[in-house]
Parts: sequence; C-alpha cells; structure tokens
Amino acid sequence: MKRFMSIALSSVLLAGSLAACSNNEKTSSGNKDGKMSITWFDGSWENPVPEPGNEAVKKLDEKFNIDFKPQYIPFDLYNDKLTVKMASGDIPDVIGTEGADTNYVKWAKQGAFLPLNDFVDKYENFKAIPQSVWDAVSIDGKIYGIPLFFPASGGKKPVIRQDWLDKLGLKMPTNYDELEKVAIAFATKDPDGNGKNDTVGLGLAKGIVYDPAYGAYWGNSWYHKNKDGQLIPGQISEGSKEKITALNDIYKAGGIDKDWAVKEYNEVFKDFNAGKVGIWYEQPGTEKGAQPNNLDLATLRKNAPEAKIAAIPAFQQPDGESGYVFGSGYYRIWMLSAKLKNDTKKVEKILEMMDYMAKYVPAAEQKADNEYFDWTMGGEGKGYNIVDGQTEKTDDYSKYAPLALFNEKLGGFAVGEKVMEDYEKQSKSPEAKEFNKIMYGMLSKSNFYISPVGRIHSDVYNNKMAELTEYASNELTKMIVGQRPISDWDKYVNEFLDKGGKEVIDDVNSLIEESKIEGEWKKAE
Amino acid sequence: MLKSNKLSDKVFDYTNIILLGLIALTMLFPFYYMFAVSFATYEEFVKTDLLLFPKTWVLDAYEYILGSKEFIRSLGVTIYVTVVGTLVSLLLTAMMAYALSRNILGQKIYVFMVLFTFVFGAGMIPTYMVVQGTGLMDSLWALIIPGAISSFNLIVMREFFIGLPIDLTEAAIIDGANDLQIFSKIILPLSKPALAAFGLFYAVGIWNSYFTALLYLSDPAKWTVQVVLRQLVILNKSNLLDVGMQAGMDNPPPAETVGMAAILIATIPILIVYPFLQKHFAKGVMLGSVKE
Repeated sequence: MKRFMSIALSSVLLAGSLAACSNNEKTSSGNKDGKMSITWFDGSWENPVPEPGNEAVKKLDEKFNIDFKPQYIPFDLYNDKLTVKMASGDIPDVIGTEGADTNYVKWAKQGAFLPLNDFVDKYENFKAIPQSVWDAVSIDGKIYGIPLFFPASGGKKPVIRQDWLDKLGLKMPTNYDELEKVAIAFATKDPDGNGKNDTVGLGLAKGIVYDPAYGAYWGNSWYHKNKDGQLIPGQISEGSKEKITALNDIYKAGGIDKDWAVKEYNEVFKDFNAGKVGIWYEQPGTEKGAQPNNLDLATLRKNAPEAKIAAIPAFQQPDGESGYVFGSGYYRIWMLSAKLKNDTKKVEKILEMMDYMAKYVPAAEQKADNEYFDWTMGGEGKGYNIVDGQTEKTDDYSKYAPLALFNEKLGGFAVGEKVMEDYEKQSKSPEAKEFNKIMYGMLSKSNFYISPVGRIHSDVYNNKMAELTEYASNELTKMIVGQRPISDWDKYVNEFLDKGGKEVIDDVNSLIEESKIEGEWKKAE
Repeated sequence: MLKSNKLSDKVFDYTNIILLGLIALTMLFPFYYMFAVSFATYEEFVKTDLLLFPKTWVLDAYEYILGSKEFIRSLGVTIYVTVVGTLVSLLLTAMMAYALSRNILGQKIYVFMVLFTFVFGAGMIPTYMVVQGTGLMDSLWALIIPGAISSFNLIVMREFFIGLPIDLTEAAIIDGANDLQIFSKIILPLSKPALAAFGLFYAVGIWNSYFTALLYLSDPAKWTVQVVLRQLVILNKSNLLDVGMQAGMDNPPPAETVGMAAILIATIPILIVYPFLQKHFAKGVMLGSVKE
C-alpha cells in the first residue's frame, strides 16, 4: 500500500507540473503580426451560427485592423458553456449575456468584469441609452456592461380572433367580466362553425404562460403596494386574485383547455394555427406573425380562411390607469474582461467597434448605396438582396454580414420605440406585415408602466425569487383548476411571505428607497 | 425452445407473445410517428391531433434537410469521429485490458486506479481544464481521447481475456511469438465477438456525443450532428425567465415535419450498424457463460 501511495502521489505531482507548464505558455497571447487580437464569446440567434474566420470576420479584421476571434453558441445552450468557461478561468476579452441575471451580478461582484464608467460617454450611440437601462446593468454605480437595444413596449401581447367576435356578435373585452363571457362563448358557441365542440376560448399553457394579464395591475410586475406602503410582487396582489378568479370561472365553464396545466406553450401555438384557439399571444417583430412554431397567420388561414386577428388593448384599472408593463428596454449585454484593466487601447478599440455596430439604419434608408448599411449587411447579393425595395437576408447572411456577429439590430437607442413601425416594412410576407401593423396600432396608443424592480440588483431577490415564482405559479394553477379554493387566498399570500417573500419585499423596497426611483407611467404620445 | 402441447403452456406462450409484442410496438411507434410526420405537409400536421397516415405525401422536409449544408457537414463529422473514435477506443481498451489480464508488475495498482475512476469522476470543469491544458480544445480529438477508455468496458474486457485459455499464449511463446504478436495474431482474432459488442457500445456513445462537442469545439464547422439536430428540433429560446417567456427573443426551428425528418436521418446510419453486428453481439453475450 505504501508503494502504491508513493506512485499515486508522484503521478499527481507530475500531472500538476504539466498543467502548470501549459498554463504559462498561454499567458503570452497577444498581438499577432502587430495586430491586436480580440477574443469574443457570445450567444447567437443566427442559423447557421457564424463560424470563426468567415468573410464577415475578415471584413472586421480589415476595417478595425484587428485579429478578431469570435465564438458563438446558440443562445439556449449558451449559459451551460459560459458557466464552465468562467469557472475554469478561460475568460475571453468580451463576454455576452442575455440579461443582468444572477450570474451577471455574481461575476461582476467577484471582479470578473471591467467597470466602464470612464469610457461610455465618449461614444455616440451609448449616449442615447436611457438611465433606466444603465441602472439595470450597473451594480453599486459601476457600469459592467454595454446593453443592446430591445423595444420596451414589444414583447408578447394578447391577440384575439376578431372574426369569431364578429360571428358571435360580441365586442372586444375591456374587463375581466367581459373576458369571461367572450372566452366561454368562444368555447361553447362553435365560433368556427364546424358543428363540433372543438374550440378553446383562452389559450393557456403550463406554468400560466403567457400570463393573461391585460395590464400592469393584473400582472406579475411590482405594481401594488401593501398596507405598509411597500411594493409587492404581482403574484400576491389583489389584481392577481381578480385574474385567477376569472380564469377559474372560465375553466369551470370549459373556456380553457382541460389539459392546459401540462401543455407546453408551443403546443398552444400549434392549436392557434390550427384555428382552435380564440385568445393567444405574440410579439411584434420582423417576420413575426408568420413563422412556423410561432403564431403563423399563413397556416391559420389555410385552416380557417376567414381568420382575422386583433390586438387586445389593456383593460381599465380600478385606479384609473391602463397599460401594459414596459419591458427592460434592452436585451443582451456585452461585458469586458477585468483582465483588460491595463490595456486601455484594447478597451477603446472594442468599444469603438460596439458603438459602430450599434447604429440603426431606418427601413427607409436601407439601400445598397448606403455604405454603412451595405457593409454591415455583408454586401448586396452576398449577405442581402433588395427585393421590391425591401431588404431580404440571404441564407448566407451569417457568413458575410459583420452585423451577424454582433446583434439582431432590433433598432437602436437613438431611434427608440418608434422602430416598431419599421417591423412592418421589413417583414417579407404579407401576413407578417399585417400582423405588425395590427400590433403597432395597439401598442402606439397604449400607456406603459415602468417597474422600478428591473433597475436595482437585490441578492435576496436573485436568490429567492425563482423559487417563489414557481411556488406561486403552482398554487395559482391549483386555484384555476379548482384544486385549491380561491377562499384560501389570504392563506396563500401568507405562505408566500413565509417562504421568503417577506425578505425579498423588504430588501427590494429598501434598495428602491435608497436609489430614489419609483414605479412610473409612460403615457402614449 | 421446448415444445409442449398442453393448453396452459399454449395460453402462456400466446399471452407472452401478445404482451411482448405490444411492448415492442410502443417502442416502434415513435419511429413510425416520426416517419409519418416527416412526409406530411405542415398544415396537415398542425390540423391533425395525432397524424398516423398523411393524406398527401410530400418530400419538402427531406429536401430542406438534405439541402442544408450544415446538417450534411455535421453528419460527415459525426461519421468520421465515430469511426476513428471507435477504432481508437477499441484498440486502447483491448491493449490495456489484455495487459491487465496478465501477471505484470503493479497489475493490482493499475486495476485499482481504473476502478477508482469508475466510482469517482473529476467533474465537468476539471475535465474542461485538462482538455484545455492538453491543447485538445477545438480539435475533434477532444471528442475521442478524453473518453477513449471506458473503465466499465475495460474491466469487462479484462475478465473476457482472463477467460481465454492460458495454454494458447504459452504455445505461442514456445513458437517464438512476442507479446505484440500474441496480442494481434491470437488474442484479437479470438475476441471478435467481444470487440463487436464493445465496438457497438463505443460507437453509439460517440454518435450521441453532444455536450462535449458543444463544450470543446468552438468552430460550428466541427459540430456533430446531435448539436445541429438540436437546433432543428428544439426551440432556441431565451434563458431569461421574464424576458424569455413574456417578451424576449426566440428563434423558432423550422416546422416539426423538418425536425422529424432530421431525427430520422441522424438515427438511420447508427441504426443500420446493428444488424451487421447482431450475430457477433449475441455470441459475445453468450461467450463464457457455459463452462465446458
């Protein structure tokens, strides 16, 4: 045994020294041919995923005189690899993430990212970023990442089968009572006229997705206050109670799919496209409204030729307001490695690149003779074509277009929410144009509530809220299907508070008070 | 099988056949379903609750898949890695198993070291660091070398070699053969059934490698078919709870019909290996079970 131990130990030592050797060799990575090398690791929505060393990378190398070494992973798998990379200390110069989540805060606090406060005001496109978005990516006043634009009024919004409303002589619902009536009529009065009882009034999927909240008052964002004047999560609010009561009524009357509690939301998209669902959700966006596996008007019309949809405006709230919840206003963040602390030149080069790629070209100016547009899109005939005055990405877009290595260009902070007008123009299919027009028509007239919770970073919230949300979603599901009586509401609220909800509320409120921000309404222009 | 004419035996037999047949059907059904859906139109798939026999048969899904350069390329990568990986794994496993089946110096220690990794693994991050430190990152060898020898397969193969009569080896030594010759000319030919069985285990394992490919390979051109398949079948959706569910980005995959066709195409190559190895495989399982 003694001999065994000595062999085992010496082999461990040997392995250790080998590892040390190879580590030393690697630290000297840097400038190749006098060019600055920039490593970049991010998720991607492009399909196919851009490959390192493709045409687009070469264009960037040339333009910025760098040796660009990017690496992309499809976003749904990205976090798995990122976690391993960060844990093993293999940190690239630029790291992407989808949002300021628990890991972002954790890694920032551990010092993995470079604070960018001294740099950001030098760049044109970053100057347009609103304070609420800077707040979201800052921790203790330090900016740890560059946020990318996402329209805050976008996101999944409810749509209804207008042709069903017309056929049954019903009006667009404006409160939960009317919603109940409409949903039940959709399910029981054979709106598709096929003589079969095969329709569902209100689409709903596992985990109460998408939340049938027709305004901030009924949603899960922090809108309500408790009797101590503290903001509370929507799940335990009076609005939520009203919503769950209505859902329970609709469920009892057969207006919601009996299997909804175990149904994945993509199944509901399928049912909607088959013409079997009356109320469901989709978000505005280029080509949205005409994509298989999402809401797809083209497929819907093949199954129900007379189908017409409308967006449901937010309901009037008891406090006199009305409007949906404003999103965070950004999607995706780029962080810089803290290792670049003494390499100001490189930091500036990276930010210059990010700033350059962040500029938005409005749909009306998207032409081949616009040099910037042509270059970012990979050149006419290679990365894109202009068909009937409109930009169409080619199948090889992600090979040629430098933009594919950066973002989806959903707009820019300088243009703001108005970018949603362009979604109609940019969409190829007539169904997507129609859908975006309907959605923008509703959203441009809607008010929006800006929640203060997205602008602070509470560790207690990050640690506990996921579990609490799941607990609430389970209990509320039980209430909708009648397994738990709604008369249990106060008991449920207390359980929520006891499970850590109280601590989350205390911490969030003290942070909100400290940073002197409040929930506010953004009125329609 | 022994034949018997008793009624009770017949009833027992038929019940067995029907029951096992039903169980087999439940396993075959998903394949049939994928087959049926892959030939259907998307409109029909959406409209029908359970599509068993498409009214119109179309090849759109297959055209899409076979026209996808990424998919075909990844299939090629997977076939390459599987063939090379299986050969490397078999060779290394057989060599080590054979050596450990003989009385060599420190045999027990080596066997213990193998057994140790059988029980305790290093985990993902240390393994990642080893792969990185040894320069395998972004090389297809990263899919082959770290898992080249499965300790379980090694132990079983070693038992198999121990079971071979020592007389054969001794006779070969008298004829003047060296260790390498004994291994390659006598032991390996005698072990074909075992090699076929373990080859199949390794091949299926490598064919299905997915997370290692994602973790160690940064160039999408080197991704295996499973990674690409996932993109075709599963909704690439946001990880963010609030953004993803209510307001975020998602990248819907092509229609389900395409997904089903992709699964079938990615499964068939490894599936057709089975019948060829089947006879060896059955023999391999039987081998050594009866002492003469």
